[in-house]
Amino acid sequence: MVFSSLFFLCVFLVVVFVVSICLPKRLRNLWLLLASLFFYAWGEPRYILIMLFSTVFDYLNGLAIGAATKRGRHDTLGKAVLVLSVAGNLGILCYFKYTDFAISTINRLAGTQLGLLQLALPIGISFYTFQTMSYTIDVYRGEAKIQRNIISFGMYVCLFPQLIAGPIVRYQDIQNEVDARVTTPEGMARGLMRFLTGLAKKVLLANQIGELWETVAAAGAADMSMALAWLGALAFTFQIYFDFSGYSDMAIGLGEMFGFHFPENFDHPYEAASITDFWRRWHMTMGTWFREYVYIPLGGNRKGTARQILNLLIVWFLTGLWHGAGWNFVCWGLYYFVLLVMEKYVLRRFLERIPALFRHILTLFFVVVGWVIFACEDLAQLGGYLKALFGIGVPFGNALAAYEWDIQLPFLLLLAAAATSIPARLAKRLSGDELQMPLQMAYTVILLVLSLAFLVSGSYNPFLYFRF
Amino acid sequence: MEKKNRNIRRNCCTIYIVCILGVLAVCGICMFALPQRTYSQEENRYLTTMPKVTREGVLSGETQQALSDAAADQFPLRDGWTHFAMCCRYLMCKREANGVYIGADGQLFEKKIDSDLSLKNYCTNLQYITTMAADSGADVSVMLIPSAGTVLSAQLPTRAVLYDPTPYEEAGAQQCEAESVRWVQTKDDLARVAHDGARAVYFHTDHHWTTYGAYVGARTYLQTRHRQTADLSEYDVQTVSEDFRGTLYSKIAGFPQVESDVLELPMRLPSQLRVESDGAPADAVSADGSHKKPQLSGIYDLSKLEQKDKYAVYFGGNYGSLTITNPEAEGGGRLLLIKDSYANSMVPYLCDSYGQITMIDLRYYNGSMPHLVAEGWDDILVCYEMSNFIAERNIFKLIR
Repeated sequence: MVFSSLFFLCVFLVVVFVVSICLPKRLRNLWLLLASLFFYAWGEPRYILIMLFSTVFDYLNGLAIGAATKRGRHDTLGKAVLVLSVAGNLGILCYFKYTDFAISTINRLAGTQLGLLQLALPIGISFYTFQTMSYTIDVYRGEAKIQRNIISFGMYVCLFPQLIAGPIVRYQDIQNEVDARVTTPEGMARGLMRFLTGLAKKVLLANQIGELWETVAAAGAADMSMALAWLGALAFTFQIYFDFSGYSDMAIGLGEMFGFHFPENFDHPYEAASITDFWRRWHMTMGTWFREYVYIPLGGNRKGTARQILNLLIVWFLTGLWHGAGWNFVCWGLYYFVLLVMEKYVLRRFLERIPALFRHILTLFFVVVGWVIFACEDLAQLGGYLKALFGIGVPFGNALAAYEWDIQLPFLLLLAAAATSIPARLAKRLSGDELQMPLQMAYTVILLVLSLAFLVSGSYNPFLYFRF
Repeated sequence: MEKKNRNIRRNCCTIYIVCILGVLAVCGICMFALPQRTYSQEENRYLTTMPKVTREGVLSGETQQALSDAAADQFPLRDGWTHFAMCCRYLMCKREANGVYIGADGQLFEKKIDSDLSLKNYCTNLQYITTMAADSGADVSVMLIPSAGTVLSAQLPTRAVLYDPTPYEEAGAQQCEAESVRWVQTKDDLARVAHDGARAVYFHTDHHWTTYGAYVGARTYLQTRHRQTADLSEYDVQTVSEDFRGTLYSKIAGFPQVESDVLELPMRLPSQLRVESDGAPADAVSADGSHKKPQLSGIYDLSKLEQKDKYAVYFGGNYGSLTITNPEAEGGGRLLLIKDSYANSMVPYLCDSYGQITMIDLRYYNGSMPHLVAEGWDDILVCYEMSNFIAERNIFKLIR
């Protein structure tokens, strides 16, 4: 089930929320667990078993690490369980996500004809395996308490708001709220407002501009031009931001409605003044995950420059691969590795001296090109699109580009404004503390009406982060 | 004071939550509780209704998909919501939705651009025709009706892009004439009539041409065959519906400033006309959404005027094969008309000139075309709308 569907809004959300606040507190975790399993089974009735296995597996691993530590065998037995847990989780993830990718790569390189497994990717597997892994690792490190109640633990793993597209909530982030959380009318209203804002980002902004990207991506060589390629790249840049950050807003808002405080996932990334800055603002929970569980354990920046560069290479290779089983995703990860290394070691002096405006423009330029690498899963298509982006073999402009720029420019400007922190700051300034909440309520009601209208009328409603 | 404020705030929040979830809940209940709509006239398609829940359906995910679709299709006041969304698009200066351009005066156009079409497929289609022509012994013509947007280009939205028909026209003329197939060009005649502005040659809300467009097409073709055409006034053209909203309208239903078309038909037809079909129309849907056995008594099926897609008034829809005989026709003669739906409205103007017209729609016809072609026809006319013909994948049946 996706959040931006009428069935979710009018049936699932209403029932789950109303029953939840009517139930006594001790039953709420069980209710949320059941609701989340229903939510997951909606799209993947069979794959629910994998998630349940993952849950029980890491629940037991957590207990085992705890028992080992108690007996003073933290470093031997505890470590062995940790390795088992990580291997188990990565094993499941690799089997379902990367086997066919590996086989087809081998086939291509070695010229063999090995058959593909043709497995459908279980929804959200990249997210929930990372979450359960964070639990056992944190327990091993002594940074998280052991959860002895399987219902509470199951609820943490399966919790529907962040189950399928993040934010990646580490167990230590919400461990106190799993067993005891407070819900207040203010909190629930704030959550609902956040949810509706996210819904509007997704339905009114991402879906609408997504149609433009589809048009441009589908345009053949006969209709391609440099101006059109840039328009398409910008369209995807906005689509993926509003799609993904809208989803995160919805997840965080839903969490707050049920009393959880999930970590933030986006902080106006297109305002970034450098690539490093961009990655501090984009998909922050994933960045944190890789930093905490890969980069720092590898030694981070404490073992000299050469080792640091190697660590960065590993992290960015994995980041790319995590986003999808395709070479374009690996290229995309390595692209950022190169940019970050350049920024850190080679161009830092130069970048410090140029005006801030140029730094922003330069950053956006590389980010937009990066999204093209991300969006074109077929390498031949990617090559063609990159050529068009730099005007190789295509005219600068053509009739289709003129038409699309003409009708899309006002909307693009609106999107650009919405992607910055200006609207929020302006609203705060104009409304003052007293009026802020009522105005926000009125505003979100309008957003809901508009979103419903577009959901009822439109069939174009994909979620970009669904395939991860 | 502080505490009172906090209480007000608290109540405000509670009211907000209750209102929003209440409205959503009412919508959710209405989806299930209100009578289910099975067919949308406005959109000209079947709606998904709430499915029966079965074990297999749930395991395969079909039930869930149907429930999700039904939630949108059975949403209370569905048409009102879609109209509202279309108005929002209009206010955002969009003049395009679901592959349809909304042009000046509410004239709608199919959005087809160069990369949607393939010159290769087009030339292959022409080759099938020239191959067929070589063996037929008949006088073979190809008449490709220009897309509305290429004739009424002034009415397209500002800067709107459409495929360029010129290379297709040139390749068509060249390929046909090299093989002694007549290439009939209607674009200039249509453009002239359209430019006069007295009569619309294309519908505003449908991709088809009007009966005037069809008359011009028929006249152009018959002139090339040195056959007579009566003046349009002799056909007694009458309005049969003032509320025709065609298939393009269905895709943008609710968009402001788009008005209904007037549907007119030539009422004077040969008195002894007989129409015989090979079965039911392959594509027609009646007003209640069911397929009905046709009772063809003539060219017009006036019951179709009650439904949304009123263009089906011609024969009730498209058939694999349909034969019209007119014993009074001047000079007799047999015409094999290989066509898409555009030709349907042209037939009333061809009846006077041929004793027998057999219409073949290759999408639905599964008999042997080489056998049919060998039956000894005077004339063979291949008549399609240009972009349909470029994309058509059934022309190979001509030589199969």
